[in-house]
Amino acid sequence: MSFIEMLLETMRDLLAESGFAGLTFKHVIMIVISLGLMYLAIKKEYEPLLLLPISFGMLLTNLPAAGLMAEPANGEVGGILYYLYQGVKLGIFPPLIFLGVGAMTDFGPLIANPRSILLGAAAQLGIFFAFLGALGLKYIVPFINFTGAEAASIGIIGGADGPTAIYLTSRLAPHLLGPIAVAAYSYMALVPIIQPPIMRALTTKEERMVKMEQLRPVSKTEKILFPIIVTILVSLILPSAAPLVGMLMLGNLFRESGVVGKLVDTASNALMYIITIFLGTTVGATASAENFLDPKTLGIIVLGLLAFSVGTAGGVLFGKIMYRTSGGKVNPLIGSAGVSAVPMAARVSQKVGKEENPTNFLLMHAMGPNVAGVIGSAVVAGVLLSIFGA
Amino acid sequence: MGDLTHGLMVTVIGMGITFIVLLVLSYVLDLFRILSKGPSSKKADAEEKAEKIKPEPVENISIAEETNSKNDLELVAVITAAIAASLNTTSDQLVVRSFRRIGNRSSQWNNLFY
Repeated sequence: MSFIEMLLETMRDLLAESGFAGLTFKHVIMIVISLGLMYLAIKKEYEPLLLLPISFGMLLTNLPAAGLMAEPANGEVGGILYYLYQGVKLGIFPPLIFLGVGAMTDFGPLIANPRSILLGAAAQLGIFFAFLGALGLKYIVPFINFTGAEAASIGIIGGADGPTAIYLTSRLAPHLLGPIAVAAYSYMALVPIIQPPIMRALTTKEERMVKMEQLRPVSKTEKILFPIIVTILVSLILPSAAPLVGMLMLGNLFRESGVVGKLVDTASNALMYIITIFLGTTVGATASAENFLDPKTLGIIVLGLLAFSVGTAGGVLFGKIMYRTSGGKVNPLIGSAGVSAVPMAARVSQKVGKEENPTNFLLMHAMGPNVAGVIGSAVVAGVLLSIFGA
Repeated sequence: MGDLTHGLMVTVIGMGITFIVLLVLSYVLDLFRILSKGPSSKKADAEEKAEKIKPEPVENISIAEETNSKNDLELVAVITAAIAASLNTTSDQLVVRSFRRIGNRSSQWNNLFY
């Protein structure tokens, strides 16, 4: 008898300690969502480099009792993801990703056509549109109420730049990291679907047919001076943008200097992918059931799409202004590339232009606004950080 | 509604600063262009003259190629690039309007060894 009693008690204890005991309906929903995202990442290849770790992080954090995101308490160490998450929380990972991005980016098209930088500014309009939308949402949907800091974090989705979005959100509204990162990367994967209809609707056939003059060749000296001057200028004007812009330009200086090939290789390959794993998994791990299953997530998804669309429109409309002022030399289609998302948005400009005129090559012209968009959204993040930061 | 007015102010200030920063940057880059042209201005002038001597952009080139509706667009792009390269100009100076393949004029002897 005592043996059977012991067996039953052991079984009961095991069950109470297992995850099943703590599994709630909300956890199950979150696990299903994470599996759905994994499907999108693997089968549809939606930004798999990030969506896959994000979705798996989401799965891990929603398995009760596993405690991967647990803070250290009562003399016990915390979960592994908790420690890795400090790199996001303290704002270390996104600038390191920018280091790698800088090491991979050629700013030549931007140096050759300096005015195209302004398209990278115009396309940031989407950020502020979504920001205002988030602030005004409570007048339409009373149960979704975003604070100023939350609204700023949602707006930055329109920058179409993952690291910038994660950086700003980790500073202003860390509890929204999960949905914002998921929205940002999903819409980035959807850029080829979201942008073309907006681009065609806002331009005439004649404008889309414009062939742009070949870019002038850019000397090595200019390419080396560029990252140094940008760092000094931007950091002096807007110190809060310095972490992102500074690291981006450091990576670029590595590349253009031509003397530290090994550093370029490490920054743009090994280091960047290591950080991507840490960043993706831990950002996904912030998407706990309490944080994610909230009406706010729906608001973020809708506003994020709005941000992308308005950003595209802002770039194209400013492109039309440049088309007029330049006497028809600028093809407005390159404006949509101002929403970062390098190099996807530039490829979309190329594709839409080629549909109209098969002999038109807009890619290099679109790369200018495209890389300017990266600087632009980092600048906007700096502005928002200095207004809403503690 | 107070937060919306605040939001509008943030928007105006934010877009304003973004434009100013990038505008400053674009003017600095203009200096780059002047600096890079400065020492080699003679060479650049010579190049510009050479540009003017060049014949007018070739407007209508009928390359003898058979129209093949399948890969037309890519073919146009490739041919444009090839002509641009052979004429020593750039693809934005050219418009390919039509192309068709001419019959196989090579001698039957050429096919003997295949």
